[in-house]
Amino acid sequence: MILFATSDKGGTGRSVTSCNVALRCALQGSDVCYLDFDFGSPTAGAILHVDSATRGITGGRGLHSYLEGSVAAPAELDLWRHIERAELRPRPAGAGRLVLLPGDEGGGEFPTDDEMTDRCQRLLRRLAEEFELVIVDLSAGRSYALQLVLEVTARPALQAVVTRWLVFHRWTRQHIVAAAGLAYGEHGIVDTGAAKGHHRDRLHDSVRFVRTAVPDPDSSQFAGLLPTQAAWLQETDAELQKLAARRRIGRSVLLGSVPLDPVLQWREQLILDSDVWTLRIANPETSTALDDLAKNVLDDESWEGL
Amino acid sequence: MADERAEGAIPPAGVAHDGSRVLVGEVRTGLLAQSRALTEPEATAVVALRPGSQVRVSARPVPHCVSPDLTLGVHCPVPSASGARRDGLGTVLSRASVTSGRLVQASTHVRIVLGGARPAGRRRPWAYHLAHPGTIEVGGRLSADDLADGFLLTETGDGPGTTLDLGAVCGRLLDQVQESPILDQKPPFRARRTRFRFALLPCGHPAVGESAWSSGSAAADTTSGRSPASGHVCRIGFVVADETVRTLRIHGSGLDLVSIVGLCEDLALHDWLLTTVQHVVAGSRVRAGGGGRLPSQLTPVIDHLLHVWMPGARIGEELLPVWTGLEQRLGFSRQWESLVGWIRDQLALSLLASLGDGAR
Ligand SMILES: Nc1ncnc2c1ncn2[C@@H]1O[C@H](COP(=O)(O)OP(=O)(O)O)[C@@H](O)[C@H]1O
Ligand SMILES: [Mg+2]
Repeated sequence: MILFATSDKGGTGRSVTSCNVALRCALQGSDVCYLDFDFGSPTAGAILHVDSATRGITGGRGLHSYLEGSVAAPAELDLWRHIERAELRPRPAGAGRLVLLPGDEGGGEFPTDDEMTDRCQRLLRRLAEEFELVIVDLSAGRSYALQLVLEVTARPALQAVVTRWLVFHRWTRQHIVAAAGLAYGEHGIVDTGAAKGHHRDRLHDSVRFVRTAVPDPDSSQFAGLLPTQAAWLQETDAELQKLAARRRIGRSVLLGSVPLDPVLQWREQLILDSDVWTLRIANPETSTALDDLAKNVLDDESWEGL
Repeated sequence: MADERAEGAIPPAGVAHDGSRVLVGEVRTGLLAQSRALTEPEATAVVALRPGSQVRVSARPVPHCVSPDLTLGVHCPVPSASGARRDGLGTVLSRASVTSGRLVQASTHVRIVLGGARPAGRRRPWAYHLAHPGTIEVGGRLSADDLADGFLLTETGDGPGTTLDLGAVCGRLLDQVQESPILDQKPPFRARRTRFRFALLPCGHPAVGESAWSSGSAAADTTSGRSPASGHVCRIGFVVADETVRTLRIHGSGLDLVSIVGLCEDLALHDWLLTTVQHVVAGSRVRAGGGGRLPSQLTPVIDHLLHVWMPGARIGEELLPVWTGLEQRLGFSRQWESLVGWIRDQLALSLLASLGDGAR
């Protein structure tokens, strides 16, 4: 399966959440690879604790260079050898492969051409052959990267490969409206995809949503609130639920919801068991939510047509 | 994965000299992007890569279809460990094959003729190169070891620059086969491709990192006294560089180059089988023991891969001793048998468990 991670805005938590999902899927035994297609800000290396690739890699072997045609194949980092977190070395027993294809440092966005599209198609098809889960972290919004992958996935060589879409958004009015727009609106994923030859309904059915940094009014985090504040939080949440439903991004297309987490708020990183239970800095709810999201990503049932 | 080295040697039989030939090549192996095994006509169609040229088909001992040779003209520097830039001119040969309707391989090779009698700068016409497919002539001095090290030891053949990149040619060919419209793109499981790089050099000084005499080794010489033909292997070095890259260096003389390529393809195929099944077994070992149920990942391996193991099946008489010697030292078959044994035990346990369930 190829899973495209998108969001209308930057800073939604798309990369952080996707990296954590990649890790958890690999820990559950799947072979996973992660492509940093956020050419403007390739941050996956930093989130995954790969010191040599915190802002993409140097040396001209990243995804950017590959798509431009200056190398025959992009670099692939075996994360079990590169993640600088002691708990993950050596590779945990029973874990599948976990590979990062980093971007280039100082890459930037770029318009695409036909040859680039061919290269992108070849790469994605090969990775879908080698890995159970291929996560592609795309630049925010209606970017060149989004155009590119909508183009290649409409081609015959990739039509038979299962491709799915995740739209990440924060739990606010603006983000809900923007996420719905990116998926279903003008020049959105479904619109653009259909224009490029995708089957409209099928593409529509392959989109799911993930809510990030969601404040949970019932959690202990908000235990100190005044009754008026708590009531207001409850009300707002209920309103947002209604808004999401009206914009067709309600519960039926919700794949996961990650609570606001103190660690993630301060730092882009992987959340490990040790962060929750030993260091006691991350919330157990965050870990559970990430696990559930990983499980849903791999579960065909949660992707079935509506 | 730790380095695995297998070496045997006889004393150096003379230094590589001008005009020496080095065969270099790469084989990439993967699982065909298809839900079931291809029939022979389907496999034939998938590797019919040149209109009008025949696909070679053999049904026994395992079904095997090979594309016609594809020729690619090249004019670029050849690899070199020392960084010497020596231009090569000629053509490389590639072919693709399907084995058991399941496995797909692409292989690219070239015979590189070093510092021939021709003065540097005086090139032969293209017609000459086209009449000698699969050969590159290199102008200027370059030692066989420098070339082979550059080819085998560079971290990957996919780096930037314009140097001859057989891996890229080979990878493209494998992509091309896998993109065939005949294939449904639904393989029964996912498996990584492996890259198997090889170099055949003249017998000569041992290279850095290889010992001339592997002390205590019973099989110091792979072929002596066994091969009646002229073919002779002095030394062999096999390295598992990382999860997907392997390199094989053979020093020999009088060997038939075409069959060496075939030998490497067969080795690469079995190395891939071993690597792939090892990965699946390692993953399911941790999960085994759940009430005697068969770990679900094992099923596709049992259904699709176990019967493909047939080492040396397509190796010519001449190279059989080389294969046997290599096989013994690399322990491919030993490792394979222990894996298959473990899988059989799991199968038996699961059968017992289901019988027990039935009795209850
Ligand atoms: N569940 C969360 N709780 C708190 N902060 C979060 C959460 N998820 C992400 N963040 C933070 O939000 C910021 C943006 O995340 P990032 O993944 O880089 O966004 P994007 O890839 O969408 O641009 C980061 O500082 C990140 O740590
Ligand atoms: Mg990001």
